[in-house]
Amino acid sequence: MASTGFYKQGTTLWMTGLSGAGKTTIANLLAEKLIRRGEKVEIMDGDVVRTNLSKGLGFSKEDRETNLMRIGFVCRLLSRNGTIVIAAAISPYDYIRKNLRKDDENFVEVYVNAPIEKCIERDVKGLYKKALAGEIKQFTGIDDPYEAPEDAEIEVHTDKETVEESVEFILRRMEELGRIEPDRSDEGYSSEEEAFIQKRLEALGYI
Amino acid sequence: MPSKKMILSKSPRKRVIVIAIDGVPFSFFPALKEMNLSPVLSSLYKRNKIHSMTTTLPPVSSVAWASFLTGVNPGVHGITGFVDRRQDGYLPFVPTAEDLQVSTIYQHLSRIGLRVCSIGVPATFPPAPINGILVSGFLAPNLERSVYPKEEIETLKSFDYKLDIDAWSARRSDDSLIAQLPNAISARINTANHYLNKENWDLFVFHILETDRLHHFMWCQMMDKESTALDLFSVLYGQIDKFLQTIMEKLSEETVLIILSDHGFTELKKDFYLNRWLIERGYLSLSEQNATNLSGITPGSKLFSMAPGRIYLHLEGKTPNGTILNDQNAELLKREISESLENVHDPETGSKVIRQVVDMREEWKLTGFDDSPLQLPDLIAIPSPGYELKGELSGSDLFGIDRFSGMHAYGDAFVYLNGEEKDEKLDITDIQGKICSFLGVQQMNGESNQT
Repeated sequence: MASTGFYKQGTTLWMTGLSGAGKTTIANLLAEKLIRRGEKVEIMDGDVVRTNLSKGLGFSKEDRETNLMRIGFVCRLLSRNGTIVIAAAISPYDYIRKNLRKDDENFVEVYVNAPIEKCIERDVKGLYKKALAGEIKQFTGIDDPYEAPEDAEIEVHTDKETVEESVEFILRRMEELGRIEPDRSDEGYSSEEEAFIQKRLEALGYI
Repeated sequence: MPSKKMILSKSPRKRVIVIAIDGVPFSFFPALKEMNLSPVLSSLYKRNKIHSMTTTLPPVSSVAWASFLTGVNPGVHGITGFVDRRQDGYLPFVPTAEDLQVSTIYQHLSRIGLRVCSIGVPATFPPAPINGILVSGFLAPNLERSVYPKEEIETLKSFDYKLDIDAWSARRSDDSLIAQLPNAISARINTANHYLNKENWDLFVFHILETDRLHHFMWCQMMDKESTALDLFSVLYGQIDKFLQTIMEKLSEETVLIILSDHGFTELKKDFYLNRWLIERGYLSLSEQNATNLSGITPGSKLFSMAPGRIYLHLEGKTPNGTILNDQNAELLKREISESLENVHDPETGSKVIRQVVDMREEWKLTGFDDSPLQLPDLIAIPSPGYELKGELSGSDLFGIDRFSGMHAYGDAFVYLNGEEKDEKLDITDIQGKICSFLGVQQMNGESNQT
């Protein structure tokens, strides 16, 4: 395809999933692969954002919503200017994700799906241990609900896939959804194939 | 056979099925009824639900279906024939979906998250990733290279899906054509039924190629009651009718059905070799006497042609050796050649060979005509019915007779739009906008207004 301007808009790639599901890991590898393809990429990691954009906010439902709306606002600005923004935030509430989608025409939801048992087993940050011990309150998946998305454009299963597989699947879905240019190795005709097609057209009296 | 669950979806969301039947003319419907080839189509025609539709110039399948996919005329999407040429050379190349200058409805719907399933539509090779399944049309070199995603290849093989018939074999004997066509259409319909049933699509586009092939080979034999052609027409149209009947019986209120063709058909009497005529009149000269392509065109040549009836000025800057300046002289040359061509007559019958010569810059309403990466034809000659305009160079005869008895007619396509009455003039470029309206999604960007 030439000069369609089709891929000029960016994308808000909103990754939702439990803590420890693999959002940040996937986001980092995905960003690297997208940059290699020549895309402009930013990562909005929920944990990192809390140290600057949302500094001072806690984990109450209201503060969580504020945090997510701020991230969504920045994503919208960047994506409409041609950047692929990967937001990696637990974002447990369905209505907030729906609101974010409503405001952002470039919103694509990625459900980073892993069973809670697997996340507890991984517990990279030691947070589940604390939550289970009652040291952290309102922890998603333990004493606060996680509402899994039903209509995410992309879903990966990090308990069954390697990080590489999940990232490749996301890239493929982004191609299918017209969010990035296809990275195809088998384009167009080889000279032999084109000669074959011309012969076929001759047989039909077309040329 | 499509199951109730997919077509009679309980989901309130709108869905669209497009059945694209190649090369069936609107003017064929009275005969279709008389011959009782398709009770379903005849019934729709009788109830004034089938409408005439204009199509692209030239009326070539890959050109017309590209306009269906993009909603714009060939001057805008860039594909003007089965072969085209780039500005830096004279040798023809086969344009692909990668040469389309605007995006397709498949990409548009994919981007907003709708699922698309497309089977066999020309101008879709190579199969670009879409949110769904794409089986390219007959211009794919082989089945393995025709499908996205590749995992579907095995399914196509299991149905013995054919991209096209073996046309060389069909040229050699009617028996081969008679053996190939019913199997090909049967496999195609079985494949469509499989995906209608299995896939959760929002837009389903199914292209039937075999009608075009049948009409090319046997258009005139159709009326001969002694000919085996009639049986073949009955078999093919019978299969289409059965398929349509199944679809229509199971349509839900939320599912919209569109049936259309891309061009008409008419009797082929003779081929007329436009390049040879240009040589004879001194508009075109070649450095080799028996040249089979335009690579030996001399700088002094003023015009050359590519089938069907596309005429190019040998312009300086638009062709490697061109010397014609794109100014007032070019306009005079266009007028001169148009008048001459419109006065060409068949010496055997006295019939006029070329009905009209159209200035494509005006026809396509293009302002950036000279900026296209492909060279667009300056003029297109529209033949009188019965005369096919070819581009052959070698040889001296201006007229010839080919194996075929049918040729594409100009205009004369048809459309059925979910039972809607016709309240407007319809062109094949309008259908993409209708699909968006039926689906309740935003129209593609302003490119669709350039028709």
